[in-house]
Amino acid sequence: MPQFDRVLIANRGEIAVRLIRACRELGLSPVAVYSEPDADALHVRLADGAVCLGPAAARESYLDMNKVIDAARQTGAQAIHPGYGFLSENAEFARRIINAGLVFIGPPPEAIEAMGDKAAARTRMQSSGVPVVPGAQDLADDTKIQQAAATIGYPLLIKAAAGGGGKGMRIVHSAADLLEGAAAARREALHAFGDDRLILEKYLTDARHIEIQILADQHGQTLHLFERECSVQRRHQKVIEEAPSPLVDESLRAKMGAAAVAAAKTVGYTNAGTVEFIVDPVTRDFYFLEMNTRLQVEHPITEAISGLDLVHWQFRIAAGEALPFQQADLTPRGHAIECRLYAEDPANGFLPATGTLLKFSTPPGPGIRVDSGVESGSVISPHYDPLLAKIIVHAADRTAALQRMQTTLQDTLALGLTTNLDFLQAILAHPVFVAGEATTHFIDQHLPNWQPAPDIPAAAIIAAALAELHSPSATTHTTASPSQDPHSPWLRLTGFRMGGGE
Amino acid sequence: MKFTYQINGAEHTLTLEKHPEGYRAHLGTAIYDVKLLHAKDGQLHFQLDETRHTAHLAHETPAKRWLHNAGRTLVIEKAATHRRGADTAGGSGRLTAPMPGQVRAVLVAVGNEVTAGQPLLLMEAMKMEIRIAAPHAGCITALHATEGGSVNKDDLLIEVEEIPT
Repeated sequence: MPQFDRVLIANRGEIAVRLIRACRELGLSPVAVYSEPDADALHVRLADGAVCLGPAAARESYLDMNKVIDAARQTGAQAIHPGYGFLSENAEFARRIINAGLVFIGPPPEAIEAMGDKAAARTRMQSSGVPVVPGAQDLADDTKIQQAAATIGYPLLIKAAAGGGGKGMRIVHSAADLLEGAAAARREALHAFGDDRLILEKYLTDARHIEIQILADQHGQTLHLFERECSVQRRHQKVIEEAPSPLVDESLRAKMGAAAVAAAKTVGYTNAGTVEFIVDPVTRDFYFLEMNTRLQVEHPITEAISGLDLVHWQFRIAAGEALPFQQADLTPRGHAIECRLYAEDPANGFLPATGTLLKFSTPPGPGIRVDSGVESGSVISPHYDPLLAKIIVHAADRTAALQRMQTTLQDTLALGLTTNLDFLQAILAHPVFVAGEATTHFIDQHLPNWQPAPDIPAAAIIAAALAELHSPSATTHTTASPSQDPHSPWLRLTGFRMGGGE
Repeated sequence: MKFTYQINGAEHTLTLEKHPEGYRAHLGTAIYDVKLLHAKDGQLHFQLDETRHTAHLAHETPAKRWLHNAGRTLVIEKAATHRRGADTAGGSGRLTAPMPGQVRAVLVAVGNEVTAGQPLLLMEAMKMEIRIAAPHAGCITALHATEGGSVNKDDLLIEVEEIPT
């Protein structure tokens, strides 16, 4: 790859680790950035160089464009990979990188802009024949909103045109709540994006969230790498993803793939991206939702079934390489599932959990991949996303993949703070999920007040007692902090701590 | 030996008796023959009657441990210890702080069997090391001190109960 040999990874956590490893595989030198509390994080230790961006608050560190671009200059990196989240879908960031003479590993800023404005994107998609959710944009005043709502029908969704991440989003169930909902959404949108334009969309209650992975080179070739189904969500955040979708057959795959390719081409898209659709499971009609102009969290399941390394291709496309294959060369192979291991309490409103991950391990085995930014001893701070790791399995078919995921989760250790590990197992065992029929309301409908099983196995209670009796060798202690004084006699005591059997 | 745990909001009491081959466990009306096969690095391998089990444990605090067994992750907290036997502060098995200071190291955990004279806890007070040792052989039934914590004179630190033989 001629254009760059040193890459700044403008992210943290599992994705930074994954990108750093990809750099190594391609012979590129990875440089990390970090905030003060991340100084000892795994991604910092794996990189060739690392630059501290500032304090914990993302605004003063990972979201500060000047600091990130300065870090690249300072370390001699010629390219920046934004990962997902943070600055990954910020057109101005991409533009500043390019203006600084560096390579942005992602799409052109114009494509990010075109897809970032939901109202403009809707209009563009409509004009290029991509089906959009029945709805309306360019709503100048309340009268226009009322007229549009009457045509669309209820329930409907009010969204911020400039938005994303659920901000400025409102579900309205009747005409009586329309204007109030619109006013609230406008306020929220103005506050979050400095732009109070709204769009209205029909709210599909029993829909499936299915997205198409796109890969486009700079030589005019745009391909799709099939679909991913991400219907299992909590608070608009994905929890489990799988590919292929149990709903999608070959003909629907071809139609959705073609629509996604058209969507990408319309905005002059290059590099990796994802076109999100909602699909009516009864009619199998699909509607464009939005395009994510970056690498997705759930990209590994596409890598598993396509056999392609998406991050490798992101670098190679950015370096000007042409895709050496065509759509007809690509066939999905087997079935892949990803579970997102979050530090959160599913029995308590998915409240994020913080603390020290005293012990973390996942089982090795065929068809198991774990993308993780943490290890035993990692401190999980309240500053960032609660995603600890992604557990991905690949098997010959969906049944085998479900079984492989269940056994993998059963053998995963995440001790020291509350995680959704037991909840993930409950989802995988649920008959609706097993049947491949989960919609975006699956968790609300089928596991609304989930609690861990009340029965405690006798073996667990006996194990706790055995551990007490054999404590020195049987339990992991957090290490006592040694005395600050190097001449203190207490330092020598650590050697014979009976609890020192870590 | 009696163990009382708080798990998912419910209390569970277990009694373990020494047995030639290991222990006999009483849990409610159930009785199990328990044999510890292997204990290392926070991992326990043991046999209940004829079935083998594995558990992984990690301490968050001396009284709160995380346990993984058969695919489930549990938080196990020690229920408040009931006082039995010597009830007066400073009784033979109730060890108190001889002077105000800081707890530098807790060398045992609840449930440990200790021998007479074995150091149990180290305090630092006025740059001096104070070693709290077991007055007699027995089992640690309660720990009231945490590493790094400050204690006042006569604060209860550790309770050691003699094991009837």
